[in-house]
Formats: sequence, C-alpha cells, structure tokens
Amino acid sequence: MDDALTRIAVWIGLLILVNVFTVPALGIIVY
Amino acid sequence: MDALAPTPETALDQGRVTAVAERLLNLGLAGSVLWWTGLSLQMATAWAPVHVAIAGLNLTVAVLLATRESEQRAAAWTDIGLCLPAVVSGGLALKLAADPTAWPLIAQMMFIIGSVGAVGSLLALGKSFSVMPGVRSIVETGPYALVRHPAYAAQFLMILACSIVVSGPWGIALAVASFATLAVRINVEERLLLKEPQYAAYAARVTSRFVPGLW
Repeated sequence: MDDALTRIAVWIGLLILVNVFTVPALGIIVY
Repeated sequence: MDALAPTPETALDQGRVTAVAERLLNLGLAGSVLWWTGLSLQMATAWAPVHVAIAGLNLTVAVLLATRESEQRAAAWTDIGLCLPAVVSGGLALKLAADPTAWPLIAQMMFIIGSVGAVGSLLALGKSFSVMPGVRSIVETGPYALVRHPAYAAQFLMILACSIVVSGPWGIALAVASFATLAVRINVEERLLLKEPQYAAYAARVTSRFVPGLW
C-alpha cells in the first residue's frame, strides 16, 4: 500500500491542476 | 543498526506532516467547491429555486470536506477512476438541462426534494463524508437506516429532474447513463466496505440501496 502522505500529495497535485485548468475556463465564460 | 531505519522521532514527524498536508488538502477542496459554485452562480442571469438548492448542497459539501475524518483504509486508484463518471454525472446533467429559471414546476420540485434529501443524507454522514471511495467510520443511522445509499438516491432524483427538462430520447439516455455510473460507484464502494465486518452486518440488515424493497 502506498503511504498516506503520497496519496495526499497526489490529490493536492490533482486539485491544483483542476483549478489551473477550470478557473480560467470559467472566467472566460463569466466575463 | 541501520542508519536509515525510521526512529520513533522521524515517524512522529511524518505523521505530523501527513496531518498538516491532509488539512491543507481538505481546505483546498472545500475552497475550490465554494469557488466553482460562486463562479457558476455568477454565470446565471437570474436565480431560480434550483440555484439556491445547488448553493445549499455545495455549501454542505464544502463544510463536510473541510471537517471530515482521515480514511482508515484507502481505495485503489483504479477504483477511484471508476467512480469519476458518477462524480461528474450530476454536473453534466445540470449543464444539459440548461436554464433552471425556465424548468417546468415538476422538475424544479423533484430537484429541490432531491437536494434536501442529499443535504440531509450528507449531514447524517458527517465526518465520514467523502467524494471518493475510502473506509471511514460507518454510519447506520438516520436515512442510512432505511437504505444504504440515500445520498446517491437523492442525487439520482435530481438527475431525473434534469432528464425531464432535457426530455425525449436524450433525456432517457441521460437518466439511464447516470444510473449506470451510480451503480458502478456503489459497486466499487461496497466492494471496499464489505471487507469491514461492521459494514457486512449492516448490508445484511439494510438490504436496499436506493428505495426500500425495490433496489
């Protein structure tokens, strides 16, 4: 089993990626 | 002595780093949910009751994400991937159903009843709440005493409301496809949870997933 810290680090990376891609996309639609 | 073997001191440090990282992740997830909700509500030209329901549901999700407990056992990454379609199905259904201010009354009512059911179920989950599969404290009370997946049943009612709005063959396709994604998610979750004797006993007692006596 991979350790908890590695899993959390992966999730934080994914969260940053999703935000980097979705927020500007939403921003373009909003403004 | 192996110099690289973790001493009790370094093990404690890693535990502390993990706890801080987890707190940061949970706050980041909660903040993102609020941020995305704010942005998408800003896009709405006028507010319908459906918008208020979405805001209430997302606020609940954000608070629960920020305050949930650590998982006791994690799911495999492949299982997490299998649950993804169900996670996005709700948002997709809402996107396809277009402007909620123009929805027929029956669809608005179904959506609001669904969202109230979802908020109630998620609050009953409390600290055990999670979006992705993982073993946390098992909840057997409140709506979970009636069916094993009340939150997903409520989510499906909200998707059915969207299906009515979409209508025709695409509406039916949306309902069927969404149900399939939820069934996969339930299957994945239960495969993980049934390894816990407490959940196995609970599943033997509460036999229905969505509607008592039906499924």
